[in-house]
Amino acid sequence: MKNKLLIAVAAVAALASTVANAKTIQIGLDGLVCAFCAQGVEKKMKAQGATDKVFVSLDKKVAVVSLKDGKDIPDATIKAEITDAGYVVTSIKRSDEAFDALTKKIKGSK
Amino acid sequence: MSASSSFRFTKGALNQTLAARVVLLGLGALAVFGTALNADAKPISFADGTTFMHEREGNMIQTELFYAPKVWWSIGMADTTMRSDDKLRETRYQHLQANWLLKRWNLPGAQGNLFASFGYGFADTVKQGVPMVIHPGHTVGQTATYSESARRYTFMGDYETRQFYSSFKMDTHQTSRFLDRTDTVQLGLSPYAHDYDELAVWFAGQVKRYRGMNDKTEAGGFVRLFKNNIWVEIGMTEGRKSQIMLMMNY
Repeated sequence: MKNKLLIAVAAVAALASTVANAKTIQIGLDGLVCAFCAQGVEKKMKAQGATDKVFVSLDKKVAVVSLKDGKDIPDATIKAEITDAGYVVTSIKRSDEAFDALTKKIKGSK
Repeated sequence: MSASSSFRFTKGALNQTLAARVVLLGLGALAVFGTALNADAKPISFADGTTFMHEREGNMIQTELFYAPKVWWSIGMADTTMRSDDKLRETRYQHLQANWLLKRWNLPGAQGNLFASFGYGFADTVKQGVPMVIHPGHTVGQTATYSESARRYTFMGDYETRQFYSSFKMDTHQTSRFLDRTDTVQLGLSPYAHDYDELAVWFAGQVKRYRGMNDKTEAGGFVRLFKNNIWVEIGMTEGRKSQIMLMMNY
């Protein structure tokens, strides 16, 4: 019983660690059609304290947020900010992939 | 009312409305600039966004500045000067204006919007050739000026993807004497799907139906260039009048 509890705690800790250590957030978006849209999303996400850099692709309908070390932005905050900007969040995905590598991959996949 | 009596009335009204106009436009400027400069700059489509537009088309010059506290509404000022094709009448409308996003459709790769606006302010008109009876059987043309309160009603919608653009707009300026309405339909195509960091090029056509000051339907075409926060349109109407528009979002 004690071992099972330890395993569970370790699993939760590992999961929490993964989330806390996420370097980037990839946000799927509906309604992005022009540079003004992208600009608005970019500035909304840049206004978050946990944000380091933001990349928006109209082509892939996605925004990528680079997080500051040890920081995160809750899903609820992301959805609220994007909704406030006038757009719809279709997906939120956290990743350990570096911002530059991820954005390069997105640009290259056109 | 004869032109001469209108003129006398107008001169008085000009003085009476001057202070009110300064206060009204001052409050508008405070609302727009004061708030905008204290907020993070965002486009009009978003909360805390400021949009500046300047348009010159044929006999019309229009400057608008709006600040959007929320995505669904904005407030600001509009300054529009129109001149009739026969050059006998020129009216300058200055409004404080509120705009509402009534509905937005966010679709994968497309967006649709419905907007409504209401403006309230002043109109200054100079009208030439207003008949004035000197004595029975003898009428002469006079130049009259009118200064009066004015309203503006606008209803517009658009649907766009990254390569197709369509919009309609019904724009009405109204005073107790005049009602000037312009209905516009625009269609645009882009030869390629641009991304955020690329220059967007659009080729668009429009048809405008004028009522009031001018009564005509006029087609036109323009090129739209669009990158980051700057939008420029350059074109020409079928009457060979130039059409230029600049829009910036902060």
